[in-house]
Amino acid sequence: MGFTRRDLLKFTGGTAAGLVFTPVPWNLLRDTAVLSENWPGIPRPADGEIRTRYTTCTLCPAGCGVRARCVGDQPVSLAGVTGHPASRGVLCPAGLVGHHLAFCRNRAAEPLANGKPVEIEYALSAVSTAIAACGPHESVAILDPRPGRAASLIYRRFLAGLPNAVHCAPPDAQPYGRFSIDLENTRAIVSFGVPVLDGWLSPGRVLANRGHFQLIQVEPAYSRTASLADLWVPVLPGSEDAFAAAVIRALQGDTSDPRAANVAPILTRSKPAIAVGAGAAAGALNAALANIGRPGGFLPRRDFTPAIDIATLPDGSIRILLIEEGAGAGPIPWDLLRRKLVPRNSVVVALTPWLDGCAQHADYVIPAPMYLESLDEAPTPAGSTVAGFSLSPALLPGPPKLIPPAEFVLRLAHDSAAYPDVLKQRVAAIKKDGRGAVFTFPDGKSTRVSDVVSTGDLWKTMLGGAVWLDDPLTPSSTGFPARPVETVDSPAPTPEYPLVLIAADSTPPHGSPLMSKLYRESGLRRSTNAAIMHPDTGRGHGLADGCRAIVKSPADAYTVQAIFDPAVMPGVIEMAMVGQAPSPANIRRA
Amino acid sequence: MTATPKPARYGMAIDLDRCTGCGACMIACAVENNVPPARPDANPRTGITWMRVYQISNGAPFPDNRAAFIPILCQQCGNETPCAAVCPQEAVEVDPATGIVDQMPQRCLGCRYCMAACPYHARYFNWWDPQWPSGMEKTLNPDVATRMRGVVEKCNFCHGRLHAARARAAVEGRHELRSGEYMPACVEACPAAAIVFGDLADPASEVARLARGGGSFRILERLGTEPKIYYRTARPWVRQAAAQPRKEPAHA
Repeated sequence: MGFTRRDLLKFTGGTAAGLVFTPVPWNLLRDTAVLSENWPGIPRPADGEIRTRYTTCTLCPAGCGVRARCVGDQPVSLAGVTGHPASRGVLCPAGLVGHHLAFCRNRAAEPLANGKPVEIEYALSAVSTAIAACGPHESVAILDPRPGRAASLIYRRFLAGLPNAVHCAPPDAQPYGRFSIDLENTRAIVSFGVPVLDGWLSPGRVLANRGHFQLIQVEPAYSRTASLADLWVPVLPGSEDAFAAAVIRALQGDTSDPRAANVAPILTRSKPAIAVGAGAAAGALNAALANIGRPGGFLPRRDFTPAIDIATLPDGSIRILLIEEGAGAGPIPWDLLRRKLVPRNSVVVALTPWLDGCAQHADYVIPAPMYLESLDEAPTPAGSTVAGFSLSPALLPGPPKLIPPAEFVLRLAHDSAAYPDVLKQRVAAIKKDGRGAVFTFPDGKSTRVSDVVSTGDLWKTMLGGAVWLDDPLTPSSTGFPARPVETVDSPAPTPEYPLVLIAADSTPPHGSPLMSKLYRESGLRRSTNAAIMHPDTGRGHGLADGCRAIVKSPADAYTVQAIFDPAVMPGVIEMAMVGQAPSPANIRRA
Repeated sequence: MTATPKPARYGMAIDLDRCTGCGACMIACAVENNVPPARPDANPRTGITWMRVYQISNGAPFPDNRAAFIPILCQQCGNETPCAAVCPQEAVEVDPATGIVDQMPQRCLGCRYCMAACPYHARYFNWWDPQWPSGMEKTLNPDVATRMRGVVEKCNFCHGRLHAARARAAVEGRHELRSGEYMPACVEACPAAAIVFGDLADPASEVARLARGGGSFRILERLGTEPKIYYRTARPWVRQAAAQPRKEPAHA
């Protein structure tokens, strides 16, 4: 009996089929899979000495202390500094990945003039010439996102030498003037749409104090803060002032508005109480609560540097506008800025690390270092009742053609000083005054400034990671701004625009690619392409759940996905916005 | 003679009434464990988040609606661990010394049986090779290896940190870790201090005390998988929601 070709095939096929039912192929797969882990396409982490370095976050005004774990000189993770008096050991999600910003796309890496690369000397000369050509009724303005820094002092010195010059700030940069909130002693907060538990002031400080204040959230959307508030009062968009007036009446004994009557006893029981938020509503309620200049309310601090709100400048008055944009800056309302520029021959200079912000509208782009790429400063932490100052030492090397905004202005002013020299002057002034204490990050200890031996020692301490906090001032109510913030314009629905569009979540304009975890990969934060509405609202406008739609407002139009959610106030559309919420919107089927 | 360390049973107690849904835990986890950013075409089904915070709702219409945030990570099942039971590659292992359910991507075949078996949807598949923007590879954590396309990964309570803590203890001649010496990245990053981590086997530990305390519960407890993640809330509707199987969002 011979062994035919057919037998061979049958044997081979049978063996192959049989092998599947034995552990052999599986063990082979298991034991060889490890080889594929090392193929060249998989990035490998760098190796090196692990070190800890300290700095201060400058992405937002909170000024949180940062502990960086570095491999060699490269930060690989950031964390908060335990015991930091302002940030209490906490970093927000954006701060945790601040070391990734340097690797983001859309970075400004070289000076541009009308979109074309130029040398920095060319840009300096062109801007100087433009400033010299300014007419008698035209002004030079610097838009300073955080007045009160040493950089702001440089701007003011430069502008002081020009005939028509304005040091201005974005509309919401100084909401309470030289006053800040004494959160540690507050027992109740009435918030008119402020995200108190979602990034307000310094998140660590707010959450550390959360246990001892009642939170009443007044806003139409059921936001993160509303979901964690002790009481959520959903009001119609634009009716905040009326509700505040009703609460004031309820405090005086008039209980005709049942919702206000619910709020008033909480404020009476939990004193001191404060009101925060946009508009005159909060201002009027604060006056009624008599909390200005009192512990638990709004307290003054020393270092306030006033800057003019750019919204208050006359339209068509600025010829040369220098805009400083930070690495973590929110969007600058370009429509507002454009109105302030002279109609013809205006010059806009963007001092920015980004190409996709105000640089899009600028004649000259001066590339600024990204966060952690150069020595920077963090002034008084947002909401702190005492003045403060930190240095933010560089942890990363930056591309060669970057120039800090303050350095650019110094060169424009033909000032021989360098930006670090001005920072040293600030530290020297702190040492000379001798007030307050320095909290050092590495050892978590506080030392009185008067106990620091010399200015050089103080500078060295600050460079190693430290925050200086002033002594508190005697409480006083003098100088509290009458209207803390401009009222948000939210007119009533009209036949043309029957719905109200509100910003229910904020989307940062820039961030680490890892922020995709919160947006696209999990849906924890809403993305800008979703419009959430009550099912009745959507159906009333001919929409189906999940369909594409166009949301149109007088200012803009957005192509979005309509999502029905019965939890949304009828007649309202909630959208995540990069900028401010547009006013009443129209909606139609896409 | 070398002393054998007492077996630990690491677990967490998460206070849902403190969680603000900020997502700092998700970001810290991704940084610590070298989880790559999403590809442009990624979505909640294909994204990788070892810890994912979900927003849950009581289902009531406006204005009676209420919401809560619930962080879901590998529940570190202590009984009949479903993923370990189904893995044909022995790529999932419950460490008897720590109680941590470990995933070995080197062994993983990518069959995704474990994903199907996991009642908590806490396992993630690498649909693509990991990619970081140019230069950002320098920011990877040297204590954690990156994973390739085609393997499953999940939370391992920051195993790199456990090894580092053990190495520090060994240098000091200790066999056991001190309380708080080892802490996953999410616990460290939570601004609300909503997550408490520790050894559930130590009755004196904070996490054990919270796990025993009133208002504490585990997700899908009726399955009997003995998760080591405990949740706490004073809101009854949140507890009820946690007992239900997760529904896929309509617009994922």
